[in-house]
Amino acid sequence: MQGAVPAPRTPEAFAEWVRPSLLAMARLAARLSPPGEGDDVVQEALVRAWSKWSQFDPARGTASSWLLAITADQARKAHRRRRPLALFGSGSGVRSIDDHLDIEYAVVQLPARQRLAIDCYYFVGLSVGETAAVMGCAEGTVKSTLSDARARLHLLLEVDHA
Amino acid sequence: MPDVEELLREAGERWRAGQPGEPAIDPVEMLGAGTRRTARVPAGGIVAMAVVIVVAAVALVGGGGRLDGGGGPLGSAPGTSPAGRDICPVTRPDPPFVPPAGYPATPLISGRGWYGSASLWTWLREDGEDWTGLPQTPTGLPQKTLWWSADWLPGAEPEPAITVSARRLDQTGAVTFGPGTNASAGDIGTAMLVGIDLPGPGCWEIGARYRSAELSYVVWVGPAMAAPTATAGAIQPAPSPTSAPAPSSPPAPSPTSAPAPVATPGPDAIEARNIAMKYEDARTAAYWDVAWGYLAPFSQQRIGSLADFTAAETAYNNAGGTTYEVGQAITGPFDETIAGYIGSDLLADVASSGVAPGRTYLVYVTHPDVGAASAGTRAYVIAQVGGAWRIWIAH
Repeated sequence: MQGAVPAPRTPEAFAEWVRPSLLAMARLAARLSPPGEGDDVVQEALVRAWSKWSQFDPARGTASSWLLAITADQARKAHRRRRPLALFGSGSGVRSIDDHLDIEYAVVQLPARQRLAIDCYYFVGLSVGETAAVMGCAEGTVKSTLSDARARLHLLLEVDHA
Repeated sequence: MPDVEELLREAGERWRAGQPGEPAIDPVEMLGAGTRRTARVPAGGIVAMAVVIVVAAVALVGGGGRLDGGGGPLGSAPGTSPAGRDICPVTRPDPPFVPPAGYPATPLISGRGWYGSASLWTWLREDGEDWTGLPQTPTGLPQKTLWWSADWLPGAEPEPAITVSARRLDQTGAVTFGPGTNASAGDIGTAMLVGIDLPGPGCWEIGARYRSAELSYVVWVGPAMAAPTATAGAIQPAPSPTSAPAPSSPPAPSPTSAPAPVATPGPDAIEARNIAMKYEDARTAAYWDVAWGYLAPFSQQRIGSLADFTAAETAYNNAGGTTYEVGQAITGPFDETIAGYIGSDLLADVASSGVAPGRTYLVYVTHPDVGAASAGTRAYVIAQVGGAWRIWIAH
């Protein structure tokens, strides 16, 4: 169970504290980062989390939510560093023309916030609460964003199937 | 009719099944042992930076981490040696380019010359660009590049479609940045500004593309200066106090494309900048009451209530305001231009709080992911009142 920051704040204690969230962090980074940069993003997120560890307040949310939000932020920064190159990358984002009926291709067509919600909730497997932490919004907003995204995907897939 | 919900769940399960399990990252090793990672450029520079910061952080809490000498991704870069500087073919503006009518024949800052063509030009130091001493941040070595073009109409294209790339000449690696924004100041006129983050020191070719024009030059990037704190905020040069801002825009950042000598900020100026970072950390992490607590009553009253603040900042974060870059603190007293930008009523409130002008600080914070350039820039006046640091939101 993750909770209050244990003392003393040693690397070992930090490692123990983040370990339950590592898998989710890795999946989120893999989903949101530029191709091939997931591991780097996780490491950068850990560095960031370590430097801000004293600011974590368990009364405001779980460690997992806090770590996932940091991971998402680092993934965004990774895209900013290489924004134009990412457009031409391969992997999680851009698929070949042959896959145009694929649901993942349709997800790529979504507006950024809707895509983020879909990525977090359906692909990374986060809860609505964790997705809200990543998106920096209320859980209700996540639900409405997911609903909007599904409606949009429905239209996109209908067009593809037509 | 596709069942989207089902398709998404299946796709999600397929995707997760294809992902590796626990990442091969050992936080203890990463944080405590100073272990080097070998990573490709440009990510390697960032990873190296991360390791440096972590080791510094570990040292701060007594963890005793260290970096092995000589073999790190940055330390081993041949371009970082003094010899690397000698062989780096830095570009000089020789002969200098003379811009078309309407632009000054030579830059208004001495020691620089124009370089390029009417379609795209920049300015370079006459003895070549030497970007030694850039601030270290987790995202790299931030620098601002300025570009001009006779084809660019700032009013028609406030965010010019210019891209800037950086290619490492002494190793492999390239990064690209853009689009740009605009910057106006008395000594540069109006220019296209593109902020870049270089992954590490070395010999770099900086290239820009605007419409059909391309221009490149070579710059030497020497070792970075030590970061004052291990935070994520990129450090930007302090805005020039002599800048003449447009009425609707903040005083423009200093147009340095090379690090000009900057006076070492005093401890209070450093702390003021840290306060801005802490405020941004709280604001971006949605710790609303913490962020609210930093605000001076003057700003709280202007905003209304904590609920109003929460609603406004949530919307701002959703618009991209969760990524921030904090500039250096500018120490008061402020000149007429900056004082006018801040507002006399705000400065009067600061003064009425018993703060001397010389202990008043102005910190610019940019949120690069927020759409328009001006919308992403905020200015905070920061001062210590009765032992507590307070923030007045100027813009």
